[in-house]
Amino acid sequence: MAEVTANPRGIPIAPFVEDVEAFVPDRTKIEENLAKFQEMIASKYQFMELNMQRRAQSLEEKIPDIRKTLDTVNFLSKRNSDKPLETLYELHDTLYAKAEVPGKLDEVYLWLGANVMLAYPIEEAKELLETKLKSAMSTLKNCNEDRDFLRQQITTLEVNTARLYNYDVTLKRKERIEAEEEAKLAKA
Amino acid sequence: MDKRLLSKEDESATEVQVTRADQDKINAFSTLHQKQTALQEDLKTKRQDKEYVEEVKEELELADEDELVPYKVGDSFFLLPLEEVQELLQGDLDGADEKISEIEEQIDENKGVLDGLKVELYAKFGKAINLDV
Repeated sequence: MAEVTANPRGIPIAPFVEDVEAFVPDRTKIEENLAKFQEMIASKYQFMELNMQRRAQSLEEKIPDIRKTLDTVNFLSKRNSDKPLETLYELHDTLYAKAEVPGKLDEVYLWLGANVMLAYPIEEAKELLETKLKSAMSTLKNCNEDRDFLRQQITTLEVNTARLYNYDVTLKRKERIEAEEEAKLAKA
Repeated sequence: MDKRLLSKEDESATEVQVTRADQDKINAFSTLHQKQTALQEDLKTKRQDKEYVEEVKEELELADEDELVPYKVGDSFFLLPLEEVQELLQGDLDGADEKISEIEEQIDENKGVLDGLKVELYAKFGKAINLDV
């Protein structure tokens, strides 16, 4: 059976050290490996984490915008009267102006970006916005999953580092005690 | 967080072998712990939002019935009869209640898992691990 080595979006799993003693048979290798873990944390996982964080942030800004538009379209689509609807719309930050919206709307205009605005039948606009909202939310979900995953890899590496370091300390102490004892023996 | 030096006894405890399964538990704990904090934050804002709607609703009990009330949808205000606004606000409140109980459930569920992991990890690592921040 092939071992899983990456998450669904291709982020590699961090190596886990099961047995420290077997991992570094030679004490000179400890420092080298500690540096390797540090580098993996900083330039691989933390770098990806930062990118992911930015992506999530921009999605988190986008989603309320889509939702607001969808709310408005939903609200307008439910109206069905002969009387026009009086509204205050945001002309600019903190500046609102009055406008009348027909009591029954067949069409709304959606801003698509790139200086393009398109007229949609109201039901189609709803559908479009709903799909957009759904896809933005699922991307955000994936993004957050990746972030969790990245954090886990960093934790794994941190635990590796701590255990390797502790092993180094124990080895050093053992060496020192041995050296002291040897010195004692030599004297005697 | 307090940094303390490990005593000799504590130190020997750090020599417990960490297995892949343990590492997975540690990872799960850390992720869930982080999520829990975010959820609690979310719950706070949702409760606050709900309170605002409640206040507005109470305030509107005193409003003049013949006057139109500006109700915000998206970025614009729509001038609507009082009765309709109250219905809409009730809808908002119901929606808020639903979301709040959803989050509360999630928090409870997470707490159960976290406590379970805590017990398991403390049982194995004792003082060598600190899960209460």
